[in-house]
Amino acid sequence: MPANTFIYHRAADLADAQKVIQQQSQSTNVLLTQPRVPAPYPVATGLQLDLRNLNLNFIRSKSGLIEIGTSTTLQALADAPLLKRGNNGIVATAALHCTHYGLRNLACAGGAAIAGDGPPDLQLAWLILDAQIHWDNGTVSTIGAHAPAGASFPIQISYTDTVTSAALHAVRRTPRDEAIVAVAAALQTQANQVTHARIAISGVGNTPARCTAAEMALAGNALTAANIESAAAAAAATSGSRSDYRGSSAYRHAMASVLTQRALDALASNNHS
Amino acid sequence: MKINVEINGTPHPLECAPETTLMDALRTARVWSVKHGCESGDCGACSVLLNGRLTPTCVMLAAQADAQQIETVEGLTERHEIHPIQQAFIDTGAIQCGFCTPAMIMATKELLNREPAPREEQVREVLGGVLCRCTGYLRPVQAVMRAAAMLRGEIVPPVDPHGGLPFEALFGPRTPGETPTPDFGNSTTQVQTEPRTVVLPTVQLGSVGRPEPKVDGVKLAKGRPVFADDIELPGMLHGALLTSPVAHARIKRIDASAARKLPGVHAVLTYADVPRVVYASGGQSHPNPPPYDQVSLDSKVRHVGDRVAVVAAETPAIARAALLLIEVEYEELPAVFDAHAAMRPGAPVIHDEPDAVSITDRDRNLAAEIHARVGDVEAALAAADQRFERTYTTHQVHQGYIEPHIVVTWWDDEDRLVIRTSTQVPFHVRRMVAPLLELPVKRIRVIKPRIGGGFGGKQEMLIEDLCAHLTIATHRPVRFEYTRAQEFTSARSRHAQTLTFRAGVSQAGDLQALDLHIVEDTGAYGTHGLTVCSVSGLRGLSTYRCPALRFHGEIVYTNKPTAGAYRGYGGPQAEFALECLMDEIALLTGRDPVAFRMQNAVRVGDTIPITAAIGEGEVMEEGAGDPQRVLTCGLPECVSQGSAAIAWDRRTNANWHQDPQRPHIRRGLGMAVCMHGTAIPGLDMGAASIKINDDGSFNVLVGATDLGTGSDTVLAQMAAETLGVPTVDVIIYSSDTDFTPFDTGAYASSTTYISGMAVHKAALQLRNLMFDRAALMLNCSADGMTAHNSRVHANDGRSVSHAEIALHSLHTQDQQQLMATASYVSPYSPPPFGAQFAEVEVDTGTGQVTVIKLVMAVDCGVAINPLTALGQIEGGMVQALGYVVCEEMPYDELGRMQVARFGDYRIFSADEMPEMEAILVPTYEPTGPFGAKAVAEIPLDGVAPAVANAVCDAIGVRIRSLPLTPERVWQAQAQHAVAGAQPA
Repeated sequence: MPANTFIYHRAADLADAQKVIQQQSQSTNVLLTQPRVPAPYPVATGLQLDLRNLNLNFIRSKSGLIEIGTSTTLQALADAPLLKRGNNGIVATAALHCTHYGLRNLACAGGAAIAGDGPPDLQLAWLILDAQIHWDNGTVSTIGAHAPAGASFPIQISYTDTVTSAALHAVRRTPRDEAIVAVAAALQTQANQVTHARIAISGVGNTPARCTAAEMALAGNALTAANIESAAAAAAATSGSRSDYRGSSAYRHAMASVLTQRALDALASNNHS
Repeated sequence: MKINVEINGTPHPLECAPETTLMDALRTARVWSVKHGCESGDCGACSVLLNGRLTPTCVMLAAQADAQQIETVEGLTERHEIHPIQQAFIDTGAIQCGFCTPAMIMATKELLNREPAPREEQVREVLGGVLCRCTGYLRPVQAVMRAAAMLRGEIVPPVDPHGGLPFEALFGPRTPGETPTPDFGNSTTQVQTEPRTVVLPTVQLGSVGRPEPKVDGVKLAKGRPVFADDIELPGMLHGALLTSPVAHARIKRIDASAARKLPGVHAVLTYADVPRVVYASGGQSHPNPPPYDQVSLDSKVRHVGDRVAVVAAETPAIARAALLLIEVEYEELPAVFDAHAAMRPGAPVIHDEPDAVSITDRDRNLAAEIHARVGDVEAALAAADQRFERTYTTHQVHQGYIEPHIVVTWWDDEDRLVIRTSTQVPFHVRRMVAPLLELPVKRIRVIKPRIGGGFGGKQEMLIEDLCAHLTIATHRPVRFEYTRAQEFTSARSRHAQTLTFRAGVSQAGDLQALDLHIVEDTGAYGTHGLTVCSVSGLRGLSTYRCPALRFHGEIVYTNKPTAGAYRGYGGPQAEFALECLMDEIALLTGRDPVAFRMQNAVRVGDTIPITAAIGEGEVMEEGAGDPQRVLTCGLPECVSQGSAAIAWDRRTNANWHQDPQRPHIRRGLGMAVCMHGTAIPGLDMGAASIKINDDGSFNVLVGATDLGTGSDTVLAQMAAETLGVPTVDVIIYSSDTDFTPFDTGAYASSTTYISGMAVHKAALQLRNLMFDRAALMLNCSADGMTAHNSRVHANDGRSVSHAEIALHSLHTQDQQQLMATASYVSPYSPPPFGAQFAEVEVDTGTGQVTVIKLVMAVDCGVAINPLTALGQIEGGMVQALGYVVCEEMPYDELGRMQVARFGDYRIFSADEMPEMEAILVPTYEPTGPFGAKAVAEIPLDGVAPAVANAVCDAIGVRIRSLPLTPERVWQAQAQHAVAGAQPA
């Protein structure tokens, strides 16, 4: 095949998809639309692999796990009663914030899970839920990690439905704009002791990431104002030097702290009520 | 490859390349309602229902739609039917330019299919998938709710539930068709305060003053092929533009040979292939204002995105591929991106070409300069009890029209060049492009079809020359359209300005002196720079009574993309500075900001001295250079009604400013008063021709350019009013240089006032001819005849119908075509007035500003069509809202634009809007047709200062730079805290 040729292939099944990828000398672009579509579209040449026939459009609960097929649209995530109920509804809320209504009908879970840039909301939600990406070759990775060796495309995202207290806070230019900085947090407490803490931050580093220092300020400790402040301070120190016209690095670090404080305050307030 | 889709219930095989997007495949299949607005899915104009779901089609391959069901607006109805959703969009005024309308209608259909009784929140969510730059979304939301009710079988109320008020009750008795004479000595302003949206019924039949549906509403709602790109010509080629990747360079070598050899390429043009003719690209009257500093293609580039070469090829993909094969070697030059730095000694000289004409000081990169003075400012400042000096900065923003610049050119059967273009200035384009093409004007025809928004951005001869060069080179029709990224890097935008005011105020609170100095960044070319800056001077020094005024404007080149015309045209920058300044002075002197403004504001009978000094004085009836005079002013009522609507008295309630549930939130209220102009006096000219048809209907031909504002509709209403027929009996055709009379075009808020008066004059002349004919038929005198109900009525009670008059004149006796042509130029530029109010919440932790409510009360004289007038105000406020909080065009250190797509360039969507209220405060402007003044641009003027003043009210921090992005507000708070609580 000549270089820069554009080929469209609709895989009949998983085996067919893997086979055509292996036979390919050019790059492969799996047609999993991201909430921020690279422009101008289409940007890639090579093999365009359509997964439509692989029946990867599902949202289901299985043995305490929520499983989301890679082709499931973001609007389906936003609408799903299962996701609105589970994990304090944070995945449904995050899906709603990812992009506008029309694109939510086209962009999909797999696209959002592996996106290198764009709206961070879903990746943040999945980070605090310890979600896993299941790849076509049977391997598994976490959100934000590189694709495992030999993996070509995500099949599904899964996570447990055990978090009862989660929050997502962001600063944006306008109410539905892509977040400049966003923080997601999930806590489990027992007798006001934090038994499980997850905090993820976007907008400071290049990609959304867990902030383990902030988590450690809380885990095993009482959910007090002082500990929340410590976590917020740790969030301000999160690594990253992202800076652009929407916010300097200094601003982004400061906002990581402010938003972490707010998310945790909100969770503490819910905990007390 | 071949795919099979079902389009509107019919199986449809499509042949397409694998890389073809669904949008392109559908348009190739002549599904014209699917519009190209971007290449990233951000605008939604290309959206269809894919398997019942609203989906943008520019970001999916056609192949992905194989065996899927597609619904478009073409499938809603048969040709002569109209769907309730379409009807609701027309009825409510939800359609302005109509470019996004098909997608909005399909979004509505999807919603109502699953939710027959939607909540407003649900409506806004689905409409959030489609950007609209015209309406502000208020009326589209109303349209969806109305359509839902209609589809549920409910009886919907009339759009105008109040029924209007009698004209005479507002303005006293008048004669139909009378053109009032201005009374300079004893002008009175009559203002109606209730209800807020006053609808004036007509004197006779009820056309003027009524919320008539847009005359182009049906075709826009049906998605018919009415835009520039909705055409398919045999053998049509596709143009593409190679732009500069560097900010300042000479082209050392350019080799297009490989591109020319690419199969399917028909022409590659560089600076070596086209005539070098110096011109100014701003679409303005002859002679174009200086400087003349552009050529079609140059051997030097002056900004990232500047023109390098242009290609015509069999397909867009081949054209794009050819661009990659053009080898260009640049000799990079130092670049300068700051207007102040550009004027300093040693700065790179951007225009060193010897053939540029009328650059004020090329060594200082000074494209132009303006000085104007009234009285002795220094003496007045010295004598003032208090003096203030403040500097404000405003930024570059884009018009954000959804339809990109698009041109199609071809040779017609007579070897005349036809240019079908999305322009606001078809006649200027014809005149300006002719020398560049080395063709006489008579061999060029410019057609302006419907425009998908312009907002000033299309008041430019921007790409018509390149497309025409390609047609001349290939002898083939050529279609050339900017990409969305090119719209940001290679089109036009609003000028960034630095505005420094010095003001002197007496102890009694009277303004004694105003001194305004503006440094304006025009980017790489001068185009509208001079005139925009002069309007900034006008707007900055007109609103308030002040005996001593001075203006100094410096228009400076930088190596950034060129600024140009943008709705408001220098007004928003100046009004931001002026209205923040007035707020600051009031607060610093312990005065109420509203009372201080009203103490100083101009009023009826006042002259506006700066108009003469800057060159917009009256030029006819009162002698050249005399200043404009205010004949009508509804400003006090605007302030009164706006204050009530925003609940201004909350401002003094300390408790209201805080929210106990959200301790980081502070609330604030701000306001600004606005004054704009109506047309350019002595310069803007409109003309109209009207003829009667056999059935008593009329053809109206106007050169005026409806860019989505509804001007065709209001012109038709004025013709109908004068001729005594319903508006549906007026067939209007506009903006075709072969068939319609001249008009300067759609800018300067001139169409209703100037073109409207031309229509009115032509209609009066024709009506007199009809009276003469009726007199002949009835064997009586024409004296005292009137025209109404489609009949001419004689004094004795007898009458003949318009149709009988037409048949008699065309077929029976002394045959002649009853027709008339009239032109109009006004010596006046009557100012519309407005009061803008804003309520905001400021997050003190993040700096995020959330605008909760916007209210604008506007005195635009008599609103010829209240529905379209309100739509102008609502849509304008939303554009201005983006200006103040989120829209900006930032660059990196190499002069590369950091926003090249919607989304990054953030335009408000339907699901994030503040509450909005627009109020019409009618006055009767004696110089305007039926009492009208302008409304199109004034909504852009007041939002930025009102929001900035509200932010100051909320957090006590004065921010003098736009936009009020979260970090800027957060930083300002931090600096304020460090500096200590200085007075705001």
